[in-house]
Amino acid sequence: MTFAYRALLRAHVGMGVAYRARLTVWILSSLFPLMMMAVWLSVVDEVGPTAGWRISDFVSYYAGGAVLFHTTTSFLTWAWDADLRSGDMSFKLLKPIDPFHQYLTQEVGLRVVVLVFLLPTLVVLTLLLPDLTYQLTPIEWFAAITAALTGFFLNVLMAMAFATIGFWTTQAGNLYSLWWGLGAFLSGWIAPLSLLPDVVADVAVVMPFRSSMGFPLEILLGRLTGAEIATGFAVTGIWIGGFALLYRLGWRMGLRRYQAVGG
Amino acid sequence: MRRYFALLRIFWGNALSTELQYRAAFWANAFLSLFWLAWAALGVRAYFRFAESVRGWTYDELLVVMGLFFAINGLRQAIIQPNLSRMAEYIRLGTLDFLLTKPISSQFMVSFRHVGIYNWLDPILGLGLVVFGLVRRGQPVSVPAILGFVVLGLAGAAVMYALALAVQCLAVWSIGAEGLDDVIQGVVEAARFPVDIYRGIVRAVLTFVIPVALLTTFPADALLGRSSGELIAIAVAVAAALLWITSRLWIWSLRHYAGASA
Amino acid sequence: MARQNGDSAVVVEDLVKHFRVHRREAGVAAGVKSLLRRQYADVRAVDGVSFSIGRGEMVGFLGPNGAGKTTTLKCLSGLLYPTSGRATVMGYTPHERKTDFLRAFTLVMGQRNQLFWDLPAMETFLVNQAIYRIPQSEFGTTLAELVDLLGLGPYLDKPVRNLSLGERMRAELAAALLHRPAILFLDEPTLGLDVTGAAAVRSFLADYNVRTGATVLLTSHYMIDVTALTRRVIVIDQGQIRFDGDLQVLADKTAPHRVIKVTLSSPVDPVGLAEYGEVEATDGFTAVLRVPRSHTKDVAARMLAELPVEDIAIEEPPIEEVIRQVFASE
Repeated sequence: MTFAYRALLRAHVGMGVAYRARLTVWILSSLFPLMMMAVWLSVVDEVGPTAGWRISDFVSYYAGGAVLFHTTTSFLTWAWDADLRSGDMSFKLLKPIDPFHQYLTQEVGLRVVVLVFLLPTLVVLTLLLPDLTYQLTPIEWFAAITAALTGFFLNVLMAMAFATIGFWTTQAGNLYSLWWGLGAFLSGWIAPLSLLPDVVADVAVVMPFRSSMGFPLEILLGRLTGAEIATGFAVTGIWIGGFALLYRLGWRMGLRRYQAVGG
Repeated sequence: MRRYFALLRIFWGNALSTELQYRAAFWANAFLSLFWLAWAALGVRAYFRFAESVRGWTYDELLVVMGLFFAINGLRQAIIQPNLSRMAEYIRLGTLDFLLTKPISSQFMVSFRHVGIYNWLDPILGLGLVVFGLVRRGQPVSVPAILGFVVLGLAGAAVMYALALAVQCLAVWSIGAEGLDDVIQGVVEAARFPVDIYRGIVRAVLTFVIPVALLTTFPADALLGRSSGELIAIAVAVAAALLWITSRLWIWSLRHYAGASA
Repeated sequence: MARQNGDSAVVVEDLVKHFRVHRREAGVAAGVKSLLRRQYADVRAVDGVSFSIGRGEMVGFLGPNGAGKTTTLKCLSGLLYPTSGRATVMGYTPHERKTDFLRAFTLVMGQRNQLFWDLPAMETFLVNQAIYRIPQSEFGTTLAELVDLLGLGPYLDKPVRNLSLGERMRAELAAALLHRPAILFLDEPTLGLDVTGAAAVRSFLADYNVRTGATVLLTSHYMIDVTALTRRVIVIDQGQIRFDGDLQVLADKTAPHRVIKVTLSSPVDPVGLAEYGEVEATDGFTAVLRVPRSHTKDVAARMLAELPVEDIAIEEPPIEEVIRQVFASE
């Protein structure tokens, strides 16, 4: 199996490289984090440090958020949907390897290319902008990176679980959008969770959205205790298990349906 | 002119019939429009937990800008995005050559041939949000304000179209045709908030270089009674100038294109 | 006339496959109506089909578009499960999609490919090697053989999107055969190819069947694919088998003639044309004649010598006519 992964990854990284022009444009035109940050900075200008968040906190938060957004968000639901509509799903089904692995390597390959572009940029920016700073112990760095990786994996599983809905309806992508629309508030993407009403922050801790955004970001900003980090990983782990099950179920039933109606 | 309107009716009539066949998508998209509007309006509340106003804009006033953003973004998704995203295809497949031989303005064909009906509700909801914000604000809205708003709104739409046309020229010059609609999307996204919230240089760029301010901030200002006759006149002049310049740019780019592929 | 073989690669018994599709009409009014209520229709793609194919046999499925050929192949490759009836391939039940089964066959579809679009074909080959777990030495030999047989040498390093349709099809065949499957399902493999391209594919397949003894099922709506490659042909139409047996028998029975189409530079009257064959249509300047199969060459030569011919074409009778003849002879 690892043998197949190496080859698949190599191919998908190659495709990511071929797509780099498109990726660059995508990255550059996602101004959202900058806008969010701009609003917060204006708020700080009006009323001073907001609930313990200074300018440098916001800058570091949203810069990290931008990197995380581009490396952990998964668009597999749409890729899967496109394959279903075009009939390319048949090709994936004819191979003696579960499409899950084919899609996972696809996603990883693309992200590797994105990371190679973004990470050096972020490093350079940390050197240039005094406001942009991360002060962490090695263990905290390890925790932050692991959190990002597990968050990524969870996002992939979620995307695939939603993708299986595509066997019954053309709206899988929209449903996934909706799910994330709700989730954006709970992930820490729109605003840092500690700045939202307590009720929202409390719910967010047990939801899967925070795992790939707010959780690693809060570790990066040194705002979590050891116990909170452990809880965060536990929550991520449970959701990974849950969505893995949902995917399996959706896949089994979806495959049956595909074989019944011809896709 | 009448001919162009007739063509528009045909293009858009076809798009509508096609769209209506995808039943689930039709209802889903209507629901999603509403969802994203509520999402945005609620999201912004988060900032106002800590301040009554941000750079001179209260929550209600921000809602007005947001509603306008929805309206113009809906316009972008309906008219600009479907056409701009096909530019790469036109060049690659040589469809552009084909369009150039038709006795109809190529600019018209490339800009308006396709239309995305799927988020037809966005402009309506956006304007609804504007009304909601005004009502919540509780202050009277004068007739000159409404007139100024209409004029500036049209100017804003014209500016967005001009920007899209300029970007379209890039495709013709083979400066990469992929992802052009993403660029315009990014630019229009910046109009989600009034440009006043950005600081210094960014704000200047967004007002004078890439006039995002004209898209939503200026029309909102007019509606809120904060505009002036001079400003409106300048804005209209700028919009008209941009349209003229980009139109010339398009024609010039085509000449280069025709020469290159001969 | 199905051949019974103790060593069968494929056994199909009373295979039936129905689909429910919704009907869509044009126009805005119909569109609005469909927003609220859907109308369905039942399509009987495969309607009671039985046959069996022995190991190493090469069989052609012939039939017009929509006859049920592709659906049958999809049932045999496990992409669809039957509404009723049974299909067995190499002893496996296809729709169970057991890993060993997936390794034992290959499906190639005309004008569609599994190759990574933006990368050279070689990348797809390497991935397939890994997926099918082909040992390095075996992979090397098989690849060299396929590259040689298909003439892929110059194309291996070009991105697939830069290849012509014919080159892509050959690369597709290579990718599909790297794991040396015992059974090949080919769905319209020559679709969209030009004359040379189609001939290249046909000669490769004939060669491959002889070298490796692989079982081959080939569908097409071109008569020539079947005449060039297979002895046994199964004619399928509207989901049912109309004929299963020797190609020669079919050809003699139903299409003992071919069609000659000529364009003339000066008019020849129908009486003059009738000397050469049965005149189906003529307007003085063009003519369509039916000529017995065995005489086609001679007649064509005579026409070229004796008539003011500007252009001449020799064609097979359309497949629909062949099938109509099969009906007529039952």
